Amino acid sequence: MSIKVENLSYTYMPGTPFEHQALKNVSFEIEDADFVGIVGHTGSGKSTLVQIISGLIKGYDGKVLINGIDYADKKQDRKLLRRQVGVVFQYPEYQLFEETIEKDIAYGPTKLGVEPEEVERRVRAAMDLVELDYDLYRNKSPFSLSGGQKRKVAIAGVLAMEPSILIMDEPIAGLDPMGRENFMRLTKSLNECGLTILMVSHNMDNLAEYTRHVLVMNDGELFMEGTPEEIFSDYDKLRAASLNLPEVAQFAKLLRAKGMDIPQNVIRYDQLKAVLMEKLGGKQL
Amino acid sequence: MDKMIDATGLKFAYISDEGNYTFALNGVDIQVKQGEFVVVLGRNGSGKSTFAKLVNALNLPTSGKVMVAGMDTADAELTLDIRKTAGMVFQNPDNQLVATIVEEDIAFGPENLGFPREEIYDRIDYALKTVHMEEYRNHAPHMLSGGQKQRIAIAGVLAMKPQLILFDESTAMLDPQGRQDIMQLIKTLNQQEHITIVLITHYMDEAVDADRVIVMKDGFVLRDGTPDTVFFDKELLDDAGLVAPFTALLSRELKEAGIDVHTTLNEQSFAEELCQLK
Amino acid sequence: MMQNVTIGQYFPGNSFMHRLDARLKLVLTIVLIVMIFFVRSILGYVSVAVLVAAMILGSKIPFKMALKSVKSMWLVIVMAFVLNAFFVKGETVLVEWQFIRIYRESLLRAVEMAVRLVLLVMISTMLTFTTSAKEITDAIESLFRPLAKIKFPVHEMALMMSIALRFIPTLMEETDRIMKAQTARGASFDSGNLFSRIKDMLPVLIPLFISAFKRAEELALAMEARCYHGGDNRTRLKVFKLKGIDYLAMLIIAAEMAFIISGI
Repeated sequence: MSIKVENLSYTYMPGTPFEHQALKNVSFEIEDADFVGIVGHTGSGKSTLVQIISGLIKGYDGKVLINGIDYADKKQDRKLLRRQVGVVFQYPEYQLFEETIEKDIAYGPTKLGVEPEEVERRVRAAMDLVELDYDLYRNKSPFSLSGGQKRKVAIAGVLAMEPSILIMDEPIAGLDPMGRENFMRLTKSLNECGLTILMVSHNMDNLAEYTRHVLVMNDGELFMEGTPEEIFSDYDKLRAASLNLPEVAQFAKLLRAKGMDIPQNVIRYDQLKAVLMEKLGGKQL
Repeated sequence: MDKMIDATGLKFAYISDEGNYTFALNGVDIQVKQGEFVVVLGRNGSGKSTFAKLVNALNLPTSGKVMVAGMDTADAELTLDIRKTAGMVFQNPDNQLVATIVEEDIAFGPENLGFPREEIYDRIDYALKTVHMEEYRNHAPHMLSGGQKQRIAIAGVLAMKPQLILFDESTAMLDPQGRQDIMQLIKTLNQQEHITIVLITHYMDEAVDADRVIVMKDGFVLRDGTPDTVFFDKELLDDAGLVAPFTALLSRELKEAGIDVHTTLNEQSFAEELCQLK
Repeated sequence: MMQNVTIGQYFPGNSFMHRLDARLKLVLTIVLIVMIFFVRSILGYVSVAVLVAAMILGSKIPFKMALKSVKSMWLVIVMAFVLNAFFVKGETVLVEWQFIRIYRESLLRAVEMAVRLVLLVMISTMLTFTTSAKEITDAIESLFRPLAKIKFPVHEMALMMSIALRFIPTLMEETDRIMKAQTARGASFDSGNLFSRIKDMLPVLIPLFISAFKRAEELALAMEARCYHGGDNRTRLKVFKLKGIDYLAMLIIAAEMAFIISGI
């Protein structure tokens, strides 16, 4: 499903000493089934941006169109928006509240008015996606699980709503390296099934590796937009937004500075390895 | 007093919800020398945090022994001395600040230890200066960024003038800038204030400059050695659920592909080596 | 919406009001509030109002901020006014319409009540604006210290209050985040009757309680790690010692008290 944002501006607590303009005239378009990374330093407006797209903040200037529909319009059914846009917050495990895992995952679809048999099917499918065994876990309390598993339940709870757009705000924060890797792979496979993904993250390495489209926010403005190759090779501009290169791009830059000819678009591990193998004559094992 | 931490045959069990004993530590021996910078790695549930809590006498061993600067943690008389010697910084910056004003929060430890008031003020000055937060003395902690809150938490520990600081995933909840600041600060504490550091983390790059890396899994120590002996050992990394830092991975894989390079953790020297090869 | 509440907020500073001894400020605030209820003349109210204005000036906090605290209490003030105006009986009828009768005396009383409440809110706001929560709790602890002799847990009470104040903003942020997360899952919090509204709040309240307990647990550990072992042998950073300005403040309040009691 496509997203179109037009001249979006938002101010927190207008008219108070704490007034703060979080977004300044932001416009962009996202195609159906795109995988978009949103980066920016803390306070750059990226969380506000995704919360407005998710329909969780009202009173903004400008327009947000989901598949051409403006849900701020009173004539539109907001329930439809909830069905289409799933949101995974930072540390989503803190939203669990039901006695059993099955009930917790079923909460979203039930609220949306999905029939009970269909809800059960969706809970199964969602648990399958996050690799939690349905029969083994359905009757357990979500609070008896480890941190990583709790997060899986929370994400399954969003997936069970079967959204067409999945918005995630720092979903990998606090996970260990394997957890991060597994999570990114899950997201990739969801994207391949046709979900549009918007992922806010501080982790440039993961975004360079997995996304196809990157937005860079800086002080409430859309500072850069493009493919990961375009964004993550532009060191000077990223620095101006107080951001760093992914480590592969960083290393490629170092090699270039020392006189080696590495193409500008090298930002992923496999690309760099292939370039070096070719240059230095390594044998593929 | 060469050994800051001397843990021998350390086991720790807790009673799980089902009522049976679960061992978080299955008998580990860990020694940390004064002035060392030691990083502890391992997946969630490997026993890293349990170890830190045993050093701080927040938990007592089920069996085995922990000595901190020559003091047995099992001796209740010494608990305060041990906690003063081995400070601890936790993961969530919000959940370790007690006061509504920075200065008063830093004073919390020294207040508990009953130091004279003038000395507490001296210690607050020293701690704020060391973490570069002097201008935030009268601020409210909840108005600060995550990295700044964590620096205040470190200042609160520094005000007790510890010889050792345990960091229990203290960078996990910070943004890249905050994480970088805290790592820089931790290194300064080790090199300039000569404080022994035990850093528990999920970020491999934080372990690259350590004197020693301890890898844990299921309550056992899998490896205890220099970063080199950890990050080039693919089997060990897979077993412990760790991911090699970028330079280590690339240098190892290029070497395996028959290219004449040394495996290394140092980005600079690796880049130079590659450029000489071409 | 929750960030807009100004009552109970501390503004760090070093003004006359800030430097006053917290114990004294607490006691004098209570004295002043009690005194408001003894005022019998317009001149008396004017004198209190002047005093409050002087306090605001002496705190270097903008008037606008001080007035905002009154704004957040407007409902209470309006209620007090309405109750007094409509339901208190007097002698001289001012307005009579169907069953509603407004008397001159009750209208005056209503105005008086509203004025009292405004002054009361502003006086107590001046205390919280210029005194950190820690100072207030330390002051309470110090004032109640004699009770420790009869085994009343003065120190523990004071610490509990301080920590509660410290975590209010954190938990407010958390509530906002959980509400948004559950809204995204289809929850709604603004429809239906009281019972269904309470039921709708469960997906917010349960995670909030769980998180609060987790925070409490972690905080307890962190406090222990920082050598907390109860109130014995503990230094208190802020000492209470009356200074010149404290005596000045006492003098001013004493003069005001004399003025009001003399009944001018």
